[in-house]
Amino acid sequence: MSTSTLTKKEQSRTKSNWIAYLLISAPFFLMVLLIVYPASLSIIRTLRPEVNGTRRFGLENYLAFFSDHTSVTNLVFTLWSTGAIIALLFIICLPIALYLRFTESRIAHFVQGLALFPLFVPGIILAYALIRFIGPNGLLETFIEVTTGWQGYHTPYLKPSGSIIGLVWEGIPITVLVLTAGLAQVPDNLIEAARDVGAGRLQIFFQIILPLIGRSMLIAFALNFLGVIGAFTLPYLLGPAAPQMMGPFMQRTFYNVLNPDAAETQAVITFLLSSFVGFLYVRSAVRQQKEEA
Amino acid sequence: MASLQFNKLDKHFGAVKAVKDLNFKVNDGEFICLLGPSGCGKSTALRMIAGFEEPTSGDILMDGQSIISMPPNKRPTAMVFQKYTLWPHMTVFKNVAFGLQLRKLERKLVETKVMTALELVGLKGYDKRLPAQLSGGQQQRVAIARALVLEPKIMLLDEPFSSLDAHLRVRLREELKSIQRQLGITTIFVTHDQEEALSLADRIAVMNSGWVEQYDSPDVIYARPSSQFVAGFIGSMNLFEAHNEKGMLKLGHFFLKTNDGVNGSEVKIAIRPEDMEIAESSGWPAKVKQVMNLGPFYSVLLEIESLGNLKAMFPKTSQVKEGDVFSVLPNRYLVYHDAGVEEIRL
Repeated sequence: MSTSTLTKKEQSRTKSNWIAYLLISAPFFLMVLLIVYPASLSIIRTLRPEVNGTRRFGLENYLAFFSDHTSVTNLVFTLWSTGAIIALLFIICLPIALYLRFTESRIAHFVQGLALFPLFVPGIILAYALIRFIGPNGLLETFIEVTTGWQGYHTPYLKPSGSIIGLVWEGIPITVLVLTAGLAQVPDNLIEAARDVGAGRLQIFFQIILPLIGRSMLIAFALNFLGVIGAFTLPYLLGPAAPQMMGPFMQRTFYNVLNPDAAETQAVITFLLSSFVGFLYVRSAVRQQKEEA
Repeated sequence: MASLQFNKLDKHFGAVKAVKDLNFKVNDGEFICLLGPSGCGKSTALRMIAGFEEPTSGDILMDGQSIISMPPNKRPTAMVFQKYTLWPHMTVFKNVAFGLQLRKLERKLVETKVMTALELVGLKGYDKRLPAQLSGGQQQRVAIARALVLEPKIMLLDEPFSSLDAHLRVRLREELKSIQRQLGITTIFVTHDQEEALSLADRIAVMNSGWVEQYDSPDVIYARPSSQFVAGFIGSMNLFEAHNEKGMLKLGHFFLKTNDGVNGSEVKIAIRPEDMEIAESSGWPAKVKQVMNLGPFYSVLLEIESLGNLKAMFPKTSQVKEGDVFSVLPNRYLVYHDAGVEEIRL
């Protein structure tokens, strides 16, 4: 190959590189401007608490958060709710996704439509619909009373289960979509090969399917975790006044307690938790890209 | 090891009849090839034996016992699939051991059996690798080891070498035949490659549109294909329309002798290229259009007036070259007529 050909190729590669940099520059600067810069300012501000009228570096804001019973309770409640919501989402969505993957029928299409329906319902509308449905004197209570005569219904509205029900309902479409996409990548012949060597349904599920959709499950976990841990509308409208999830808690601290420093510290702690899960998600995506390459 | 019997087996997918009236027997220890073009029903037939497809009607008997009500995981068969079907998250050892572990065999015994199977397929020392770290040929060998380790009564192979390159395909074919002979395991092998079927099988079932057109030894199928389809599908064959009149067969301007077994006036004559000979002046005048050197012999395309093109095989000693003109005649041909097929030698 001649030197001039090589130079031409190098020139072309350099040109392509510049086009690539140009294309990513707009989203990159937007991300820096709208996320990285304000987030960095917040993190720095939480590390420079105001003590005796002057700001200096220190961990007082974080010590205050972790020594405050309400704050810790709210953080634990948020993590507990997030865990419960994600567990429920997997319990509900995995069978739906398996059914959709392995069934070819009109009912399957109907189930798929039903599972994806919440995707098109705004959170606020969902919250009020749920209040009318599960709230006191709502449709569910009336139905139970009319059909069974039983009057012991305890509404989950304004209780931890209220926000959990709402967030699970909201999380179903994305979870079903991600899991169905993951299951679609499991070829039939891998399952047939397992059946052929003597595996039953449960063995196929636990030893073949689950390990093969591990990445999809991580994606579903990460997306739900990130959505739930910072959720505001549904926990605010359906959840209890105390303990609170971090979203409503931040809002209350900022607007009602008028303590922006504390609200910012709560936000940074929530952000760090989300970042960890985000890191797992990004690492998995990068690994997948490397494997595919 | 076991024998297998298909009893009037049918499989319909809606209006499509994929397998029609499959009715033949596979003897204990035999190597059978189901051969046919794409969509002829051969894979469906194999999948019915494995239990992945339920027959619409008919029965499959293994050693005289019906197996069609058994689920795939209970059948004493093991299948090697067309594409690499190793579980990507398991090592080679785990892939081969999986079936044994499901049978709750002792760890030591599992290890011994897996290592023996891997050695048998020439993959000793590969047990810790993941499928992604193996070549296509090695992956198919693992799949064969995975099937063999279960000591099935019948081994089923669904075009296992079709995605491999030609050289590797031939090598694995030879290895498979040697393993089959060593273990004496009844084997059913699906392929669309006639060369593969002819070289591997004790008997071949040639399938077309769901039917078995012919079930016989490779020699018989090659020498005396029972139908025009088989004649066209197996090997290379020259086919000509001919008219049967006054004790002679007229094709183009030429005549060939017939016999009493040939019925009807319109027949088809099939001539294998290797049955063509260079003749004295009394033969069919032919001009050489193309010569292909196939190693020990020449594959020659001849142009014959009133017949068109005809393929022939001549030994290297014939020294034919493009543009040569000489006479040729078949020393043997088949006549497909209303009542069947007749073999005639000159």
